[in-house]
Formats: sequence, C-alpha cells, structure tokens
Amino acid sequence: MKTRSSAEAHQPMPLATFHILIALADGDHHGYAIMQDVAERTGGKLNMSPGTLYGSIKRMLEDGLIREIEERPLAGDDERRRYYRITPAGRRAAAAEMSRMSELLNHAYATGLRPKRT
Amino acid sequence: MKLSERIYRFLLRSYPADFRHEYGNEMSILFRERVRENRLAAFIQVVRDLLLHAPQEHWHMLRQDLGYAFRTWRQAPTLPVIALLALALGIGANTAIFSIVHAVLLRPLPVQEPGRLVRLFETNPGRDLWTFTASVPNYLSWTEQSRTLDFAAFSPQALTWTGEGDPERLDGMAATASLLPVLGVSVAQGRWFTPEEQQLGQHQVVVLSHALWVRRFGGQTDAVGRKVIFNTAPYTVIGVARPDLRVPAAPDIWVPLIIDHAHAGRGNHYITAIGRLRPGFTIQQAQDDMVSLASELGRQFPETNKEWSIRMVPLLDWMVDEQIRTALIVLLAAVAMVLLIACANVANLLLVRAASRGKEIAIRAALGAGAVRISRQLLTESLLLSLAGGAAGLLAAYGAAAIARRSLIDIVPRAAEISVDLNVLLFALGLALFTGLVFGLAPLWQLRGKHGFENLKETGRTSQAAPRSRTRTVLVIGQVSLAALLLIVTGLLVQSFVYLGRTSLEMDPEHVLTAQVALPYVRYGNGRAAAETLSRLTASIASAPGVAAAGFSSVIPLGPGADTSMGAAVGDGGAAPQDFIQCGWRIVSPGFFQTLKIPVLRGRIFSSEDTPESRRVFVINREAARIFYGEQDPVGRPLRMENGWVGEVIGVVGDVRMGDISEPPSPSVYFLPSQVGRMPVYAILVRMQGDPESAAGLIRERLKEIDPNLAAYAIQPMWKFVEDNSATARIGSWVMSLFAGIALCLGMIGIYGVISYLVALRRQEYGVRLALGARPGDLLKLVLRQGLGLALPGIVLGLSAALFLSRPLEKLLFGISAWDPQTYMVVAGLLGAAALAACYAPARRAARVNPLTALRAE
Repeated sequence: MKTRSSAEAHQPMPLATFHILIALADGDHHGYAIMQDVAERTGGKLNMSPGTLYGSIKRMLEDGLIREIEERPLAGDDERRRYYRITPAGRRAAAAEMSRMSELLNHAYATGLRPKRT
Repeated sequence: MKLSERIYRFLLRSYPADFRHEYGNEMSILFRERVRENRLAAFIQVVRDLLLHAPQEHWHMLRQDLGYAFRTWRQAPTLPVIALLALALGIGANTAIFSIVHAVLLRPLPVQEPGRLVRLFETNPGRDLWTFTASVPNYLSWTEQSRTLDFAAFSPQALTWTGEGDPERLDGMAATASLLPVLGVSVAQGRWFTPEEQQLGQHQVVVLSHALWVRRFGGQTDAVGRKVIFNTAPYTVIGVARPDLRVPAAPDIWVPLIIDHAHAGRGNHYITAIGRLRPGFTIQQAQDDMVSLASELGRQFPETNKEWSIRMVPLLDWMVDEQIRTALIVLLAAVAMVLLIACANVANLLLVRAASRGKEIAIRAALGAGAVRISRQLLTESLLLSLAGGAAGLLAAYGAAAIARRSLIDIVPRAAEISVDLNVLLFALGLALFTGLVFGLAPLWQLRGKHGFENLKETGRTSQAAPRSRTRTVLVIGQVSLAALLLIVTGLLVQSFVYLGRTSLEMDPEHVLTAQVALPYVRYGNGRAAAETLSRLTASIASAPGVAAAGFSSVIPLGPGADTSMGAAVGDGGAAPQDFIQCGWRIVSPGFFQTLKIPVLRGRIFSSEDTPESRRVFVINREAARIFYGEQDPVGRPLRMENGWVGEVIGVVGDVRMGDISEPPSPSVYFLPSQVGRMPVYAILVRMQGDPESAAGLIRERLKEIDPNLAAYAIQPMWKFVEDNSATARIGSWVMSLFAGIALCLGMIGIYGVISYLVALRRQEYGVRLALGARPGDLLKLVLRQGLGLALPGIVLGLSAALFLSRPLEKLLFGISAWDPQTYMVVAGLLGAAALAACYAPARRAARVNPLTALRAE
C-alpha cells in the first residue's frame, strides 16, 4: 500500500475521489451508500457507475486516503458489503483540495465572474 | 441469481482478475440496486464501464507492472542488458532478412493481378532446351491463334544518346505496344507505343524511364514532345514511365519492338514473351492451349518448329529463380534458429532471476497477490524486454536493409525494393511479442502445480531444484542442437564457395579491362563494317605502351552477352533438325584468345589469313570437340550451323566458363566477325601489363578518334565479372558464418550458465568430497564431464536433424555433398571443444572449493 507523504501530491484531485472523501467525512459507509450519498448531494448530476466507484476506491486505498474497516455499522447487512473509513491523510488531502478550489473561486470572483443562479 | 446479474458477472470478466476478485461482489450488489431503480440506466452504465473503466484498470495495472520492472532492472541491470542485446541481435537479424524476403518473394509485383501473368518459354526437350526465348513469327502466331492469353514481348536494345555533349550509352528495352496493357499499368506522362509504331519507319519514338527523365530532363513537364538523338537518328519523346515500372525490367529507356515481317526468321529466337491469362482461364488451361498451338506450328513449319513446344511459369517465379529462393529460405531459417537460441538464453537468464527473486515473490503472494497477478507481472516484464529488444533490433534492421539493398541490387532481382515498410514493421512487432511469450513462459512454468505457487507462498522457494535445472538443461540441449545444425549448413556452404573459387576458368581474367560499344545499325549494318571498325580500334589500343593485347567479342565470359546459342551438326549439309545439338556461339576477334590467355589445344585460332572472302572458319572448345567428334581430331573437319552456315574447324581451345562458374562447360563455337552478321553490341577486352583500370581512358580516346558518335560504357575489370558470378555464394557464406558464429557463442553461454548454476548448487557436495579425500583434479574432470554430457545430446540431435534437413541445400552446393562426413565430424568436434571451453571456468571454481567454508555454510 502506498501512502503519499504530502496532501498536495493528490492535487488536482479527480472529482469522484473528492466526492467519496466528502461522503466518508461524516461517517463510515459501504460502496452503495457512498454512491447514493454522492447522487443525492449533487441532485442526481453525478451518478457514479460501479466501475468508477470501485476504481476510485482501489486507488484511494493504495494511496492511503481511505481504509477498509472490519466493524459493520449496520447489523444484519449483506456480508459481501465492505465498509470504508477516511484516514487522516484523506482528510488532509480533502482539505488541500478545498483550499485549491477556494483559491480558484477567489480568482474567478476577482475577475468579475459570478456563479449562475440556479 | 437473476439473469441480469448473471450477465453482469460475465461482463465483469473484462476487468483484470485481481480487481474482479476484490470488488466483483460489491459491484454486483451495486448493479442489482441500480437495476431496481432504473434498468436502462444501469445497463448504460455497464456499457460505459466496459468501454472506459475496464481498459483503465488494465492500463493502471500495466503501469504498476512496468514501474516495478524498471525498478528491479535498475537494481540489477546486468541481466536485462544481456537479454536485451541477445534479443536485439535475434530480432534485428530476423527483421533484416525478412525485409529482403518480403521485397523479393512476398510483395506483389506492382502490376494489375500479378498472379495472372506468366512468362512463356519455347522448349525443345530433344536438345535439352527448356528456357528458350521466342522468335517474332512464332510470337505473332500466338497472338493470332491463342484463345487463353494476351501477349506482350520485349528484347534488350542498346541505345547511345548522341547530339548533346559526350555520347552516353543507355540500357534500352524494345517492347510491343501491348506490354503496358498486358501488365495493367499506364505511363506517368504522355502515352505508350501504338501497334503502328512497331513498323520500320514509324518506330522512332521513345518512352523515358522516370530516373532518366529526372536525370537528363530535370523532371520538367515539357519533356514529352521533345526531339532527342539516339544512335545519330532523331527520336520523339512520347511518354515518361512511372517510377515503379520495374516489371519486367528497369531500363533507362523504352523503344518499340520492330516487327520486320520480311526479315524475321521463325528460327531466330531472341524476344522474351509474357502473357496475361484471359478471364476464366487457368494457367493449366493456357499451358494446354499453347502446347497444342506449338504442335500445330510444328506441322505447318517443320523446318523450324518441329519438336518445339511451349512452357510457361508464373512471372514472379521467372524473375526470381529457384536458386535465389532457396538461398533466401535458408537464410530465413538460419536467423530463426539464431533467435530461438537467443530466446533459450534469455529464458535461462529469467529462470535464474526467478530463483533469486523467490523471497520477494513469496512476500507479494503473502500480501494477497494471486498466481494470476504474479504471472501477469512476470509476463509483462518478459514482453517489455522483448519489445525493447525488438525496438533496438528494428533500428539495426533499418541499417542492415539499406546495406542489403546496395549490395544485392545487381545480384538479386527486386533488390531495389528492399525496405523496412509497414509489413516488415508488423513482422518485427509480432516477432517481439512472440519471443516475449516464448521465453516468458519459462519462469511461469515454475509457478505451475503444487511445487509452484503454493510452495512458494509457504517456503519462499520456487519448485524443487531438480525440476528447475531440468528445464534449463532441456533449453541448453535445444540451443546446442540448433547451433550444430547451423554450423553444418554453414560449413557446407563455405566449402562450396571455396571449391567454386578453385574451379579453373580456362582463362586469365587478371589485368584485363572490359568495355562495351553499341554499334548503330544505320552506320554498321553488317558484320564486315563492324569488324573493320573494331579491328582498327583494337589494333590502335594494342599499339599503345603498357598494353599486352587487345581484342573484341560479342560476349564477355561470365558477363553480359554470354547466353547465345544455336544448333550445330557435324558435316557440311543435309543435317535433319533432330541431328542438331545446341551449342553456344560467340563472335570473337583473333585478339580475344590472346587477351584472355585462353589455351589453344589443337590447330590454330583466327589469323590474318582468314578474310571475308576466304572459306568460313570456326574455332570450337574442348567440350564441342568431344561431343561432335569424339576421339577424332576435329581440325579440318566441317561443321554445319542451324542457320545454314557451314565452316571448317581450324582449332580447339579450352572450355572457357561463359555463364555460371558452377555449371559444367557447354559446347561453344567461335565465329570470325568479318565472316558473319553484325551484333548490336560488342565487348572490347584489353590486357594491360599493370593496372587494368589504366586502359579506361585509352579505350575512350581511341574510340573517339575512330568514331566520335560511339560511346564506350560499362567499363570494368574482368575480375569483377568473376567475383559477381560467385557473389551469391560469397555473400551467403559470409552471412551464414556470422549467424553460425553467433549461434555458437550463445550456445556456449548457455552451457556456461547451466554448469555454473549446477556448480553453485552442489558446492557443499564438493566440499564433502574434498573433505573425504577427493582431489581438485577429480572435481575438475567431473564438471567437465557434466558439460560434455549436456552438449552431447544436443550435438547428436543437431547432426541427425542436419541429415534430414540438408537435402534441399544441394541446389546451393558446388563440389560437395549435403552429407559430407568430414563436415559433420568437424562440427561435432568443434561443439565438443566449445562445450569444454565453456565449462572450464566453473570447473575450476568447483576444484577450488574450500571444504571448510562449504561445510560451514551447511
């Protein structure tokens, strides 16, 4: 398992990775729950396929941003489901990505651009 | 499980196995939930995953494997470098030879439907004639009467460009108007000839080759329509040929083949005929059609056509003869063997490396990497090695192909087309992948079965020592047998070349310079005029300081113009057609024999007493004397030629080799130039006391004094023709020796590697033996015997294979049998000695084992 030493090494972060970190930031989840959380949070705009989700999870496990846990938060759940937890390195990487996005937004505001009202 | 989930699990196979085992279950759960929500959306996602994410996972895994491979190679670079060199050598050599084979044998001729083109020969089995050219009247009869073929014909015609600057001799080809339609190609500019332009008086038109158009006209578009002077007569340029018009030949210039009905003799065979099968007819049907046509002509014209028939072969088979085909196939087989030997070496290296990486692989296995994952990673390393070797080999092949093109252009047909094109690139890629799989299997073989992967996980060691060294032993035996086969073939070819070089030519080509002169019909319309001019020329040359002798002839032995023949019979009249025996004929001046120092065996050669008005005289060679007169003295006896000439034999000379050194001498008759008809081209031969090249300026200068509109061309020393005649054998011997040498070195490396490994394995045993009283010399002998034990089965296998496989080589051999026992014994001895040499260093290491150190290690 490879753990990168610096949060900046994961920047710019793929969108799917960032969303997974957000989903795990408030608690441990299995894959389907992560997928539902992302779909709900984005209003259905980002519907991750199984390939996208587990490809990202595999890479995040290799990079040490998340880890698999043995505990099962939900009793009686399907035993084939695996639960994941964000690691401190994952939190730092997410925070670094938020800073990068925030800085980018500030630059955009400074030029006079405004977000579209939805 | 529902059908949709079953389908999904099947489609998951597009992902890497490890990924599938890791996440397959969860992905199935996810898919099931998705299907419940929206079946269509779920399947759309599946398709997107298959197209985008599955390849991404494979690519991700490949990047990991490649990174891993580079890291391990960086730590221990010796092995990858050796493997890379061996593979670059093997793949590069194969690619280079394939580029030659592809250009000469495989690439389709640049004409329409090349498979439907044939070359036609007139044949006369009674006279042992199988590849004779056609006569014009016969050709015209074929075009009128055949129902299966459309015909075209051509014949070499020398032309001298005069009128602008120094005269330049051009290689010309006279061709029928039907040539380009039969080939199915067109000109690049202007037009081709019309049938009317094949008549005398309307024939003064030319089509330039692309190369000549660029060289003499600067590639300008106004060349068509311009007037040019050839052989002091005006011609009009009517067209420019395409650059790829090299079939059936690649002359500088094309002119119409003149159909002179009044003078064309049915027995005068000099044109080359080709045909295109008409739609719906096969080559066999066309053959039958032409044979019956030939029989009909034999009935209509018994004096000239009785017992003559027609044979046809595919055009490409005629352009590339069987000897060259065989030589190329032998070369391809040889390089394939070199590559197999290199693969065996690399496989052995990888086996050694796999053994030393046992612990590392065990750790990976313990961390969850399955057998498939590890096998995939090992195979990726092998393929990376083979692709890198292939890339390096390809670079070498580019250079080798360029050298081959330059060296073979005058020897091998279509050599000008040798290049590394897309087909050759694909061949190199395919070969690299194939070799990567072949030697990559070696370490994978160890991971199979219960002594493989499972044992590895438990013990950190791969399969038992015995199975591993057995694999390597088998590889080495294979290498030695292939090396033995290659060495035998090479030995036979080299000895053949040596015998060829020792063949007596019955002439002395040293210090002789040759040149050719084309005499235009307009001013040299008969043999007497040509003879007078050339006699003055050679007399003038012979009087110059430093010149030993000079002469002229219609032929240069072993050079151009050698292939002229007609029937001859003993007596001075009344010979029936079946009495004629085919005989080569040459028109030569008296100085010809002196210049080449051809021995006079009986009687005399031509002299000043032989004039156009005196009786016709002939000189014959030893073989003709034997065939026509047996034990009798031929001097003073009459000889009749098929064209009606009757002459007295005045002398017998040696059997000068004319066409091919490897062919036995054939009967020859020599004619005096002033007593026979003219030839369009004559050869001038000058013997110098010193360097023959010094005669070049002299020939040009004296020729200009006699006729400024004549040009001497193709000036080269006589020895070059001798050398070119054995060029195929020489180049073949050299290349095969190179391959055999490489195979021998690789074989020795293989033996050295295995013996070194066995010595390392048995170190403790040697320590025990020494402790118990064995002498170092005993251990040395033991190891040397082991090495011989490895080599011997390989030698026996290789020699046995050579006995079976070398028969087809007979076509390429001269003066030696494919089963020559001396060659086989020498190769066996050489390989045995090489094996001992390869084992010597490991044997000395075994003899120097310190018993205490060895026993302590246990």
